[in-house]
Amino acid sequence: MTKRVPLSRRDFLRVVGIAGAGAFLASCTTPTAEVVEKTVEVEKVVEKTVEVEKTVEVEKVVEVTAVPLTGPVNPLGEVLPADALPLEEQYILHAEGTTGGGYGHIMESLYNRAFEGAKGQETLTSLNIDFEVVGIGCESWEPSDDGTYWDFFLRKGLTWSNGNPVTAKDWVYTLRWSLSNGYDFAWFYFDIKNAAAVTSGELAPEELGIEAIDDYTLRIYTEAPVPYLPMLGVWFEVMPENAQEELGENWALDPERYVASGPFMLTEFDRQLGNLWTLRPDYTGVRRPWVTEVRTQPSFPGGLPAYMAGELHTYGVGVGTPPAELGLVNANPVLRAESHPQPPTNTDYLGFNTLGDFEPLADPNVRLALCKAIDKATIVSQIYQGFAHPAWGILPKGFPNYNPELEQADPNVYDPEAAQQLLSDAGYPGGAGFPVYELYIRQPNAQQEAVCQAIQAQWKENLGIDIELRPSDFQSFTSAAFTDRTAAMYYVNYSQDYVDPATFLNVFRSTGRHPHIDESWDALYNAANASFDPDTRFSGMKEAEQLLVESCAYYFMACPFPISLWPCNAQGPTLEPNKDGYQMWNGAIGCPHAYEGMYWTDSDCRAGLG
Amino acid sequence: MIAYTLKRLGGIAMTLLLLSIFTFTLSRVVPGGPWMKGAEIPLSDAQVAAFKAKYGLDQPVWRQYLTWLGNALTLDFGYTFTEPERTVTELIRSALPFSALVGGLAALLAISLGIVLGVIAAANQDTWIDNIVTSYAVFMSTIPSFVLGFVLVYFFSVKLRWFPAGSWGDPNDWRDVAHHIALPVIAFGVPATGGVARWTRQCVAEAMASDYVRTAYSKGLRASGVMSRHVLRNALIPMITNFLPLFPGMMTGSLFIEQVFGLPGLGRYFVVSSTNRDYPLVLGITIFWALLIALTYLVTDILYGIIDPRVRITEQRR
Repeated sequence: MTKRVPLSRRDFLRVVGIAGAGAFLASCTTPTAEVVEKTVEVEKVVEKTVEVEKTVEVEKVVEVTAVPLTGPVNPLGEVLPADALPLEEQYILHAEGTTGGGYGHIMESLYNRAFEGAKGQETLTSLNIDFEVVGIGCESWEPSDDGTYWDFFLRKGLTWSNGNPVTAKDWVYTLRWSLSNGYDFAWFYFDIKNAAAVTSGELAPEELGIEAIDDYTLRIYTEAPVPYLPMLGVWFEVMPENAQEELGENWALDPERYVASGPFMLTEFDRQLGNLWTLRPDYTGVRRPWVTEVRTQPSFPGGLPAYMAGELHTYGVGVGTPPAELGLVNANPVLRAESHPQPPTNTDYLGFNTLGDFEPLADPNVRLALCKAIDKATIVSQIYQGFAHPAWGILPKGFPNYNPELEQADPNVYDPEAAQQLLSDAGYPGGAGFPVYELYIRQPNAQQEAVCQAIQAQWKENLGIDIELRPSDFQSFTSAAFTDRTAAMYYVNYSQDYVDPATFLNVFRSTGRHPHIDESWDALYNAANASFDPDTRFSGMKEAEQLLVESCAYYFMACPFPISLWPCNAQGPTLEPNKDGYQMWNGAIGCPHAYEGMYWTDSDCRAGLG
Repeated sequence: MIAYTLKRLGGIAMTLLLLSIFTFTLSRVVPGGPWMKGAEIPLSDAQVAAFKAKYGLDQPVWRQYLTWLGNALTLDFGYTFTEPERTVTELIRSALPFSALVGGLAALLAISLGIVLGVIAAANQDTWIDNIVTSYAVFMSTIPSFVLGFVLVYFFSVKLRWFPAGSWGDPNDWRDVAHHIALPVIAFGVPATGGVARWTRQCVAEAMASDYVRTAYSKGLRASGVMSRHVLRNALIPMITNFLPLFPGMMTGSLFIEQVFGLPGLGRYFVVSSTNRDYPLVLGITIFWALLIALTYLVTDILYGIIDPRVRITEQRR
């Protein structure tokens, strides 16, 4: 058994002292750290003394130039883009009276009209830049089930400048009055029921196939189904009901009496000094011009220098342009940038009188011989110098339903030997006994005359036949070739009136202007043209065009096209490239004019012009 | 002189009558008619008949002429087909001042500058001065006015921007009008100086070779006095014959100048009236033009008598 000895005070102090010394010594040495990893959030407080700049408030005047996000607002309430020139510079210079004088409303006379571009009056329809039909006076349209009439649903809210609404009765009055008062473009509407009879006076105007179902529904009846009827509306401008009786004769030439439905108002009219069209603030239609004025003159200074000096807003160059001017355009980068090739819209062609008065020409093989003796590609290339395509059919290149395969059609294949054989088989070996005919040429330009001279030379060289050229003014030509039909052969041009193959092919019906009758062709073509199925219609029309070429009653020669220039600081949706890449100022026929959607920008893009 | 003048006026009236018959007949004989203007598809027979009935063109030609003549004697030449709201007289009256101003100034320029050059050349015959003036005259005579017009526009409008390229300007501001028509006046007048200078040189040279001129020099008169009192006065007669008709010719407008500079004158109507078969306008312009020429020659003849007493004496003896 161990006896517990109590700890004395001396021992206790000894132990504490030893422990304290040990602790002291331990603190003097570097302890071996025991590494313990532990993440600890530490809030660290740092105190740092920094020198701070003393800010003194100073009154500072800053001039700020406001950069507008939008341009000026025109009287129509349209906001121009931010880069637009001031409103007083937003006008267009426009050549008017290209026919030399004329009537004020296009439904009084088309060929003798005073104004271009439907500024003062709305058309029933128009085309956008992609040549698609859009409603202007109307919003929409639909054919009947049997295709014998179309209903046009007019745009509500459209008003005349005198405050009256534009209703269906105005449209009905316009067409009735026009066709019963010697309208020179009446034939354009002969698809409408009774139009021909009303025009000739056989029927009263009230018998015309046009009716106001209600204030805003216009019904047009047709002789046969007309799938393209809405397209005809591009030329149909409205006038107020009873305008001729209430406003008086030539009201559309008098600013005091003029009543407008379109975006512009005739505010000044002077045959010598020109006209002024001013934007109507009260216009309620869908065309929303940015420009505020269209200034027109009967004639503008001519030539490229006038365009370069800024006295013309557009200028056209083509094959007839003097080489010096073409060189000037090509050499100037600004002019080159301002040049815009236009789509071809017309076709030159040779026609033969096949009615029997000129016996050889009634023989298709003789005509085929004449066609195959012409080297079309070379002639067009040499004479037009790139400003025309060879025409293989009536439809120009790029036109809807254009058929490039017609290039291989027999009449279009240049083959002098075959031509000689054909002529010989027909009874005129080497051209012996072939009559000397006159080739009438309608008011030809230099290129058309050169083409006919080339044809004359090739017929002489390849076939041994002689013809005489007979350039004629418009009226003499029309008399000889189409009215009296005393011309054996003729060379003429035809331009589109709208963008549908019917605009060209309709003219070749036996009821058209040409001295050639083919009722079987009429039947085939009319049947195709009346189809509302686009595939059926277009394929039928393609076949009809092929037959036209193969008939050799016509020889399609060339499709010339110009190049339009306009200043590079003109911008706007109507000047944008269309689906085919074309940019148009006047639009193709029926298309919007530049004034409907362009403006002048504040740009120095013309700096290198002079 | 009065009797002579009246006799000449009678002759002018007969000339105009014959001219009107000829022009009227010719306009009706030419194919086509005003109803066909620009029409791609000829109007139907019914449409043509309606048009003719409306304007009296369905009447026999002789009756149409007599109707026209009766109206013309009261200076009513009818309404134009081209611009249906106004008469031929109104059209001529409105278009003529523009042509007259440009043409008149151009004629003045041509005559004044041409005479000066011609006199200088004649006074320095067979010297280098004469050669320069003669070369200038030949050169200018061969340049068409519209070609000169394009050149002037290119340099003075496009390059230098000193003048506008054309148009009329503000008719209420004569300075603006003057600024606009400066180039057309120069383009129209300068080519004509060539002919005036050559003719002046010839007339003055002939006069200078005369005996009376030699006598004047031998009397001790100075060259300037001889020129002004003897040479020019005698040279004036053949010069007037040539120069006065320049005025009606130029004042009725030039189609080319008006096309190049976009001027609102009468010139284009000479062409448009014919191509459009605008019968009233064709007749009206033709008669107006003929009357102007005839009156100009009458004035010329009267001036003869004033300048040359021998002419007055000869007429009195007759």
